[in-house]
Amino acid sequence: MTDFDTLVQKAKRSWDKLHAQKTPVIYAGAASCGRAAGVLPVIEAIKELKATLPLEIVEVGCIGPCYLEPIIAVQKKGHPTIFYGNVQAIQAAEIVENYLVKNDPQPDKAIGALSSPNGSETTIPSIWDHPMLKAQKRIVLKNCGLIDPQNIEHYLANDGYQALNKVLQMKPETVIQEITDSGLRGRGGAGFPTGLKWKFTRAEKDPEKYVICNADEGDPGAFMNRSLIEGDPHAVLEGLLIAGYAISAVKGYIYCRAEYPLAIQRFRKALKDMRKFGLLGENILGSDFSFEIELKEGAGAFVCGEETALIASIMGERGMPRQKPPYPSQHGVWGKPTVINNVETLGTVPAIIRNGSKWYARFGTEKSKGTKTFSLVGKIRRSGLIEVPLGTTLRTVIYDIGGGIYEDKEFKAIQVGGPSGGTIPAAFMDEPLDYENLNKLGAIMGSGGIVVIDSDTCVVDLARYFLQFTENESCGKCVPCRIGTKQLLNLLTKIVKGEGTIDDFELLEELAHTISEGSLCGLGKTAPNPVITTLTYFRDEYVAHIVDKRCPAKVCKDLFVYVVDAETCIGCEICRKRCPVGAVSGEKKQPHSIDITKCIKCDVCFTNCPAKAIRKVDKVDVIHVSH
Amino acid sequence: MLVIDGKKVPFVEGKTILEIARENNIHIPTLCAHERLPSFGACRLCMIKVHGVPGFMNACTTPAKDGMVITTNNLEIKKLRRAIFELILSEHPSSCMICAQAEHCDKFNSGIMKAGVITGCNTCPNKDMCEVRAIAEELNFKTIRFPIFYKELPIERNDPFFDRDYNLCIHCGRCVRVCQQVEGAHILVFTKRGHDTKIGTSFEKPHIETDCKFCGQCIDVCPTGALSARGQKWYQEPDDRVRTTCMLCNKGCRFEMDVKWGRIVAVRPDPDYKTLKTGICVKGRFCLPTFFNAVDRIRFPRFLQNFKLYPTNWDEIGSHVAELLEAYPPSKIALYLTNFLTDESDYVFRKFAEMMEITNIYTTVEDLTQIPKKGIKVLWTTEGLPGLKNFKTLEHLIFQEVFPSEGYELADVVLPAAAFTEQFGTYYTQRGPMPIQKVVKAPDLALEDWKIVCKIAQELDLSGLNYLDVDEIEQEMGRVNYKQKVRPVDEYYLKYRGTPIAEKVPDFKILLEYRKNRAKPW
Repeated sequence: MTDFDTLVQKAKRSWDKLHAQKTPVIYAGAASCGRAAGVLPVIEAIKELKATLPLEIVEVGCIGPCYLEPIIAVQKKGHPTIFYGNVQAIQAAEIVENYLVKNDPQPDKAIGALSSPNGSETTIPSIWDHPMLKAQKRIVLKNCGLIDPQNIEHYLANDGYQALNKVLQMKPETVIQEITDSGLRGRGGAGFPTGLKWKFTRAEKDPEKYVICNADEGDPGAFMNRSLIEGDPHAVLEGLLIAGYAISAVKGYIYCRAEYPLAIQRFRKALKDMRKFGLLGENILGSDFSFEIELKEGAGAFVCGEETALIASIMGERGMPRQKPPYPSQHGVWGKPTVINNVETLGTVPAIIRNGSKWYARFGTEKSKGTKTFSLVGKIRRSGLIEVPLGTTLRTVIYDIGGGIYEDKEFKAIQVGGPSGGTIPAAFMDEPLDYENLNKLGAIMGSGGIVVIDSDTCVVDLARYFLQFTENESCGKCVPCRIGTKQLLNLLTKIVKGEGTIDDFELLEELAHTISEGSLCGLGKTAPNPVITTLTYFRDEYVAHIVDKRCPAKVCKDLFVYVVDAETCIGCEICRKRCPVGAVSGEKKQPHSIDITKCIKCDVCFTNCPAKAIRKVDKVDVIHVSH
Repeated sequence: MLVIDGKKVPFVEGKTILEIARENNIHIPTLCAHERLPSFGACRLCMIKVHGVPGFMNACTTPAKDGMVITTNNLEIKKLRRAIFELILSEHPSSCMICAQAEHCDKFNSGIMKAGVITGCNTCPNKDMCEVRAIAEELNFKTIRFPIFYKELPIERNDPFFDRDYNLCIHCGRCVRVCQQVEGAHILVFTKRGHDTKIGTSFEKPHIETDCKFCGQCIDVCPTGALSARGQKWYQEPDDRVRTTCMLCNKGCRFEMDVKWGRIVAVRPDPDYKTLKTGICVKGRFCLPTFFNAVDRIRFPRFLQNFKLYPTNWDEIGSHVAELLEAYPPSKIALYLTNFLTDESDYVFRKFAEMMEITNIYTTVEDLTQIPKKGIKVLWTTEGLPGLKNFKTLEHLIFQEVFPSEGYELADVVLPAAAFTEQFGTYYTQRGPMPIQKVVKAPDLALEDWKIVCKIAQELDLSGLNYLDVDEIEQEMGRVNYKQKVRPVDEYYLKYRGTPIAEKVPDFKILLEYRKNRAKPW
């Protein structure tokens, strides 16, 4: 028996022991998302129970359904482990006690059950039958939310480092072939075949090669990588080791943004454990393969997610992209051949090695194989982190998994791929989500952020928002990106203020073309995508803003005014009292009115009116009436 | 073999498309590219199309490949290039470039406005040399469709020697690259991000507080008027450019000097010499023009009469000095030879001394202690010297200098010498013998040191000391196998002859005072 087998057996023993032990175990989803939703006070509340009730608390990562956070799972010997969602600190102790002491599984509060080891029956459906999880195919997220990310044994007990162990018996070329055969493509957004990237780098003559894990996830509304790192850091690190072995690299870097402190903490702990277990350093698992990993924190520049900027940043320079070619595979970090892969790409590698390329290639479409994680956010009922086979339709994602639009409003569009992506209207709901198709529609896969937009969102304003982001995050090197995005943003600002002219259409289009064709790096090249796609699919909204001076979604504040509907108004005086500028007048139980010359459009009256008597009316109509 | 715009050109391994195009006289407009600097790819004006490659590529960074078919100037490319340049103009003070009356303005209002704020080319010191303006003319710009952004950055004038107006900056990054990759100084960096990106020092410190050496290379490469040498910026296109070697120390740096109206107005490293790599120091780069153009240069020979130094001509002063020297035995006469003499002048002086049998030849201040011991009565010095009034034996002081430096007040004969930029010759440096070129004419009656010696030798009827030019001296030096040594004057020597440079160059004084606690001031 090899050392590795001993490690695994030991890990399995402690894993099984944890699941078979008499002392109940509370698994708390304590990734950043759970913490933001308030899981830490929940854990504190449960800890207080410890005085009277013996129990153990294990902090796990995120299982995905963000809208249910904070999530805890209660494991009780001889009974199924039950997941509870939206657990608040005040009721946490009660929920736990009810199940553990009073034997009441509380099906109304439960979101699902894991079948318990001895197969006991329950009325609570399996967590995997939960509508948000059922349509998913979890490969890279396999362990997320189920294992303790800080415990390397949990990973080892769940097939962890099996792939590395297998790879160490293989020739590097065979490893690369396996990845190539699987059809895995870069999950960072561009979708370059991973196997090919490794092959090119391996073919370089320079013996000093590097691998970089790009964990500089920066798209607004995207958190796939963060969740994966926080839930299962070893999967990513195992992938990094395999990549290092495959291209015969001397060292690996993880470039993780500093805004992910928990992810960095998880990485640090994982690296420490790996070293302790002989999975890092000299002669890994007794083989000839030696490898070091260095964690580098980014300082908060979006552009550092661009590979050449990231490499510059690792070398201590300003995160500014340079023109390719030469590509990092020829001239990367320290001028040496470098493979740079996204967190999810590397996280997928161990599964492919373990199960074989044929297995992985079964998922997905002809050209886009495998699964992809998406962060599903915006105006959607069930928001969260999901993993689906590529080629899954938008309808499945939005309706089956996401449960449809929040408050049953009209599904208008999705913004996919972050600020570099595009806005795809609801009409394309049956289009499969894959690299080629998204490109065809003018968006990009990006790292996988999906922002759902309903009829209350103004697409011009949305495009403006994303442009503001890229304008801010441009590194300032090349002219089209630095000045072009500024001018484009300026044009859009003019339009949302109702100051657009018909000539602006031409200028918008030309400017978008100049920026995308002229820019140096991916950030600039894709920066106009939100504008281009909205101009293509929602031209009528631009026309409404520019020609009619109306904002159909009533978002652009310069284009509408608040008025009180006299018939609906109940004269409750709430708006009058809350208005910060005294724009509302009216007597008690009499219809109120708003002085639009004073109104600052803070939205307080609108959101607080119990009778929903405040209306947003296009400014042009009001001015027309008053004449 | 490559095909660029239908023209077959040879392929060279390792060169970019832009380099190959330029070698074959195919013009591609650029702003960020510079032959001395690694390519950067920021201005995006060199966009081209390579047959079979989708989209546009930039010529300055793309390595050429054998067999490439390249188009540099079709309609599509022109349109993109114009659109990109239009963006540059939308935030570079460009009113004069697109002004319908520009031609009239250039014709009738060509005087340089010393305006504090640069609003357009007519108030810009860089007008005649501006690369942005050149491209605007090339692309024939008449209007800008976008709103104009003026960056409203404060003009940075809080450093000695140079002014910086980053409102004119087009972010080509040349200054950053020359500072980082040529000079290795890393003083200039890109700061901030997005549209606010600017160039400056880390933490926006004044350059004097950083380790900036004031080498001025950033100014040389700046394509706009953003970076300018304060004392040099109003001269526009020079009348002449002359290359010579610096004699402010023994390093032997090569210069290129701009000449306007008979004066040196700017200095930069010789573009064809290795000084380019190491840069030149602040003394040569910034102090030299101000120093030699200072108003109190010695311009006429003078002799003391009735307690006053009267100006005279060379004939009169020659015979005056000859009489003076003949009145004393050679053992009572001493010569002080400065380290700043050209090799030829040094040789002529020594030959003169030999013929006159003068053996008291001093080259250091320590040598002066010989004066009382030997009872020297006449000192002919080529450099202002300290403490001369303590030597009571001295009866006459012949003062041959560029400036009325220390000891001038004791002189009874003053001989105006030419500065090293005003003569031909050779200077033996750490790099070996380096040629000295005459850049400008010496002021009024000032003469090369060797010529002064010859004038006096003529009056003394010494034969063999009337040379026509330095070549003749050089040939003789070769014949007699005269060997010159490297003078003990290092880079941080702060005087030229007897004059502290800081005395004539206020900005240099500021620099030295500000950095007086540093081991090296630059």
